[in-house]
Amino acid sequence: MRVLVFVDELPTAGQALGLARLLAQRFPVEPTLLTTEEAGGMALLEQASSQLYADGVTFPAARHLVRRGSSEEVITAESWEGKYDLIIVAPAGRRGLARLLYGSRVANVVRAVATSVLIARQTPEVLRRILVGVTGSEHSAVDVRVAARLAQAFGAEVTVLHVVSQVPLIFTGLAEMRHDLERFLEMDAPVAQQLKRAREVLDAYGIPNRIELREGLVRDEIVDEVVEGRHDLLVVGAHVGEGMAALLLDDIADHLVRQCPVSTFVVRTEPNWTDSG
Amino acid sequence: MSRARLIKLAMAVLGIAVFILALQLLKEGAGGLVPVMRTLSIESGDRLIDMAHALGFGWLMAYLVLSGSPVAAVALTLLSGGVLSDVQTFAMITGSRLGASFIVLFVGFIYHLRGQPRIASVSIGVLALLVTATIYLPAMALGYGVLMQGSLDALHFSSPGAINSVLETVYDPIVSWAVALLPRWAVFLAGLGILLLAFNIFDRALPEIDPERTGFERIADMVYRPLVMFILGLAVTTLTLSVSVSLTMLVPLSTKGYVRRENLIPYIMGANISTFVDTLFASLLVNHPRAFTIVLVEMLSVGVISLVILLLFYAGYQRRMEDALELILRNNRTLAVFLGALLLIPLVLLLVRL
Repeated sequence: MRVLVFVDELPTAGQALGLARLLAQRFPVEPTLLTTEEAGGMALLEQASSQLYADGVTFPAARHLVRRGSSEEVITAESWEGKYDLIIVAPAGRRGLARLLYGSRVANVVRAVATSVLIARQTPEVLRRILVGVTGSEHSAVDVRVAARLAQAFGAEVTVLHVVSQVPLIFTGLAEMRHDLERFLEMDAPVAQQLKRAREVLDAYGIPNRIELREGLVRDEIVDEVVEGRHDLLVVGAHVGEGMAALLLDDIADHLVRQCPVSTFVVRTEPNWTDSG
Repeated sequence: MSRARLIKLAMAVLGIAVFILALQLLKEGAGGLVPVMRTLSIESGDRLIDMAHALGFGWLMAYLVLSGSPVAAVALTLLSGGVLSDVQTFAMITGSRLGASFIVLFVGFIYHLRGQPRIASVSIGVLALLVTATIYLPAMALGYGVLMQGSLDALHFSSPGAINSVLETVYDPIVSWAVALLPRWAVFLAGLGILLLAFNIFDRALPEIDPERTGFERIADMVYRPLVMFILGLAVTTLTLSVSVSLTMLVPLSTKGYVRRENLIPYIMGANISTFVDTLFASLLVNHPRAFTIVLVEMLSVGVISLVILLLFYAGYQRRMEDALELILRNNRTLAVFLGALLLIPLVLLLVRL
């Protein structure tokens, strides 16, 4: 699995390296360490490399790349050139005016690349609980497979979450039905089909799982479930689409990568887990 | 042109004719309301107290006629008849919107009494009211400042002289006949009844939105950008003229009868601005130099406050609205307290003394 890890002089870079090490324990990771000249160049990468390979962790030697430009620019450019399965990047921690002027680094990266992105926030020693958000979209099946593959590798349990944010303007039984999971799953709606499919996939992988329904604003409820369920990782899809859809629709993943307190795996395509390049 | 369209066009023309007649009668009859206004202490001499009285008056009147637009039009005729000052008119128009948003809640409450699930039927009404109150009250402060400064006084329009001559030729004999036959306050009441009839005719003349052709048929499934829903609310309400009608238009738009709560708030915000289109039209017909400016200030103030929230504080605002909704709908007692407050507040505003 070809993984691009962005590092800079910020303390959060250690979280990105930590997650790369964590993945390397279970998957054949071929890492590329990327930085900018402004952040410290090759000297910084040498330092990051020693951190990556500390404690006798063995995986292929990391490729070192130093580019000129802002972190977003170099990550985006390299992601398009390098054909990576996954990009790992930590938040830049921008606040106030810097945030207003430049935006969130992780959100900018997620918007600009076509590869899955792992936002590094905390580095757990092992993944125990994974939360995956499911909608009625077909892409949810890919998100669930990613969660399943990670859970299988780390022996984690998976919670499949769907947030009901619809309110009826005409008067139907949804208000009562949404509190009864089994009745909800019997519905013909695409989301009920996706939830059932998620359960089947996770059962097939032999992963302990549960389906959770919450009611409220989607992004707030996902963040609340992450905290209340003490999840180590959130898996969400990034699939708003292009053209008119991108113009009209709000990107929930975009909000979550900025708000979620734990590391977030934003799925665009399923990584090639077994291919070591 | 199809027969259905011709009928709609004829209804629109008839609606405008009846609307103008109503405004003329209200204007003439407004003088008869002065004793009533004095009894209700609309004029206390203190500008802010007067505004509070007018706010409460507009609010309660919207409850009585179950709509905000006729009350806003009445406010303009009271301005034209010299019964209300400009800031009182502004406050009464604001009150009319607060009262009108109660109608959505009232309809939901009726469904609740008929045994429908409380959350399903009342939540939209409570949300509409919360959004309206949190936008309109700061907008009233902003608008008051603008009106006092006279910043927009240069921007005023009125109907051209030729149109006025036509209106006088057509309507003056009817109005003179009514004034000769009835006391002024009865002319006012007749005008109010005809105004409600005009809005009824408008409802039949309004275009029907085809959900298949709007591109928004998946409104229940997708979370749209707040600005997109804001513009949609603005556009749909320009056609329907009513926030409550505009909200129910979301049902055919969603095709399933649901709408995402993320999409609701900005839609209500947009609807709350373009609902003034008919009031703006009325302001051109009442022949008062400040009528147009007052409605314009109302629209701009509401627009500015809505956009500031939407562009700068939307996530926090949305969360606070959801928290308030949850608190109000916690049980029947909290809902009853909320409904009681909605009846009490305009009464207190109307009766407040120095």
